[in-house]
Amino acid sequence: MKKEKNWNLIIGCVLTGMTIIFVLVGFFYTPYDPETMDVTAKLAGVSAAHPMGCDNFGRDILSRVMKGSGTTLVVAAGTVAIGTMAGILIGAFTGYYGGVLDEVLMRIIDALFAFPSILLALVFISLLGPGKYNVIVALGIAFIPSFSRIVRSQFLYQRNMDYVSSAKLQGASDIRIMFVHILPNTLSVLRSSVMIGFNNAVLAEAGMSYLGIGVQPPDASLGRMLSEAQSYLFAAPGFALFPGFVIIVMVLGFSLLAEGMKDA
Amino acid sequence: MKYIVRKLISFFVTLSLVSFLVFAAFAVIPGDPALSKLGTDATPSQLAALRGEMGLNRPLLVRFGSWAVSFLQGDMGTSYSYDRPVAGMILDKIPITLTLALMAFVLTIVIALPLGIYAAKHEGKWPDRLIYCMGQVTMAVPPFFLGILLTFFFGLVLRWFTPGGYVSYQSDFLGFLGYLFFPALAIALPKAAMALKLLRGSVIQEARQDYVKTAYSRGNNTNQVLYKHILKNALIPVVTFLGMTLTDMIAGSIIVEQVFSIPGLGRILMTSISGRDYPVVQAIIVWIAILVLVINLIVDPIYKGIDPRIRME
Amino acid sequence: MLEIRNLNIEFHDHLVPETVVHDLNLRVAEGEIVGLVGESGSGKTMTALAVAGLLRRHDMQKTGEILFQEKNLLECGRKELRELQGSEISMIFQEPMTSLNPVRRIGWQVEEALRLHTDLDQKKRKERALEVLSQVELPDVERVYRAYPHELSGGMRQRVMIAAAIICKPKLLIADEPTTALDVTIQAQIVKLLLKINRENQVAVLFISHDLSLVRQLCTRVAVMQNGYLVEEGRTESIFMEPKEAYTRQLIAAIPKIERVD
Repeated sequence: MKKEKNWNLIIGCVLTGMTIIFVLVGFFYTPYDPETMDVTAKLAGVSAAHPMGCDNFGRDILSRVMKGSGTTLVVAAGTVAIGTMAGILIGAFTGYYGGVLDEVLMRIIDALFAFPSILLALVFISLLGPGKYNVIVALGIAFIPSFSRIVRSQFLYQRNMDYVSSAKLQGASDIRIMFVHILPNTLSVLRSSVMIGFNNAVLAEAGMSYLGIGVQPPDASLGRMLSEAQSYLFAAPGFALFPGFVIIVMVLGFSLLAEGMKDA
Repeated sequence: MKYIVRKLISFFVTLSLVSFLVFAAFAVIPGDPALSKLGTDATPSQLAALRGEMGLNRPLLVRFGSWAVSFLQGDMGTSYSYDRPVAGMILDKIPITLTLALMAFVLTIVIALPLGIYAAKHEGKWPDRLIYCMGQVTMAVPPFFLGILLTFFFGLVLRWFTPGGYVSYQSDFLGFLGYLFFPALAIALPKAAMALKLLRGSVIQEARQDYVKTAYSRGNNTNQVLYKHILKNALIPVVTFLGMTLTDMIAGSIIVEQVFSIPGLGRILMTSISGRDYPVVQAIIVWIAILVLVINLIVDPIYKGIDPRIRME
Repeated sequence: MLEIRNLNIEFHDHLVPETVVHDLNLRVAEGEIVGLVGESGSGKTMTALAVAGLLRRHDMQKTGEILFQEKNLLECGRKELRELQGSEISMIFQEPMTSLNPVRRIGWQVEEALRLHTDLDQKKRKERALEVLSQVELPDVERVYRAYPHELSGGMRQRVMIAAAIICKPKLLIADEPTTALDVTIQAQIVKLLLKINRENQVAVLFISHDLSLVRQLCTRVAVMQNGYLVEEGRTESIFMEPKEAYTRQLIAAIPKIERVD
């Protein structure tokens, strides 16, 4: 059989690479200061000076998009970190020990899992108030139920395998068995759910910031730019299109990468 | 019958659990509702009187109990910001959000089913690849941005609808449905892309099963094998996915309502979250919880209907 | 009734074309049971699938003739072939656990050939289905008719497969390793059932197996295949008593110990 090229992996790598370079450059250098307003350039179209044009205050869209995608990536990474850590802890203990603790925690997690995670995040954000760090915490907590369920089912499955019994016979402690022996065996499953979770976090952050309850100024955010751009859709379509396309490239790159790694 | 009773019990247990978690979450937040109602220049005795009147001195479980009883009686509290009963503010908004979510759900099925089958039938040929590429891109588009794109293209360029020209369902139901079409499409497209990918894979996988060979050996033609044998099997994972999607549609509606200026639950939820109007937020969350649980209650027997191997215990 | 002349089957899905059946010649007379034996990969299943009209892939080539009642199956159109499938020629498979559609009721599946090939109404179809279900000696046929495959054991499912295959009274039943996936006692029952069906319905059986002891119990004639070639063919007793080919002798020597069941 002739082996086809893994286009998902190739395109995914290219898009993700481009996004990361774009964001890294944005941390240290942007063509303009993203906050400086230029009255003469209000809603300016695409030009050599402003490759993506300017917004309603005459701020350079490219610079703002660079900063905004940085914020999005930081929020998504923080969210996934919280969700994964807590998910691994809860999933490992409930899956490995089972019993009453498992029953009670899983009952709650199942009840929460029935809800779309963005709704849970909305509840937490209304408790915590908006802002970059609160978004990370709110989304992070909202992602815990789905990660815990995945980790739990893996631990439940692995705890009866022969290698676990042999580790027990050698006198390894439960903690050691859980995190040194079982955890590495769940990584391949975890990897794909982390990547999917990352994408969901990007989309959720953009959605919340679009709604005005996510990242707040002065932090630049792609979602917020989109909500500001909506009033100028006809006069300056680029104001909305460029930030939107950056989100698409980011999510598409990552999902193709995840898909490609699955096939590889 | 035993099955229905068990499901109903589990429904009420989950609903109480979720409403209690929501209630407790809003009860422990810093900030005193009495203080925020009276303002900072209120005297301590005034505050204490109002706290007593609002029942804030009683234990949490008692407060939850009385709140739950009044909720069931239709009294969902009073809005801090508007000083109006919450019930009046949100009850007539529920049909709007629900219609939008259901419409998005129907569109998802209408788009995903034929395309998924078509792609599976032409596995590896160019229509399949084209559908795959378009699906991958569509999945990456946030629904609210899709809403903006649809507004731009169909609203501003082609002028097929007036952006912001929402029609209320009480005055013109057909006009209302018409206005909801593009918002529903914005919610549906990314989910449809996922559903069709799942269906395509599932059909291709089922087509390799032994029973397909049996079906051919009895003289079925390709279409008969596909529609009478493969499809029902292939739909099992898709139905599970769609059941989970239906609740996502409600979350999706809440965001997309903002793009198209639709005065549904999402609109009030956002203003109450920004205004820290907790009774309203709390009531809306509980209502969404009820919708989500009712959906799960309806979807569950459907899985069992389509897959006889799942036992009705 | 069935005559295979110079059949060649060649696959093109690899870089080098691969021939899995070479110049095969085989005859099955009306009402006769013929065994086709050989190890896995000998081409016996490919031959069976070709006769059943189930090898219709673009990446392969078939030459020669498969004459069924004077009609060349390799040349007739798809529609014509489908009219024969399930009504004149039917087939049962190795895996009874997966060969039935898991989400359809047994009755629906047993009746399928009637729905496709006759104008009988629902009531008549059910009558006939219950009739064949009892012919294959299933207990409580009304219950089986309404059951789903997962509610039946492997042996019962294979009986259901046989019932579905004979419902239109075919002339030829192709049985591709129908007992391999079953345990030994059930194997013997299925073999006995095939013998009974053969006598009652006057249906010819092409019995494909790697198990020579079963073939000996069931078949009047045997054909031995190796690496895509027919190496030996003849009446069962003469093959077993005086095998001409070394390969056949090896196969016979490999039989553990023959016990007659009937």
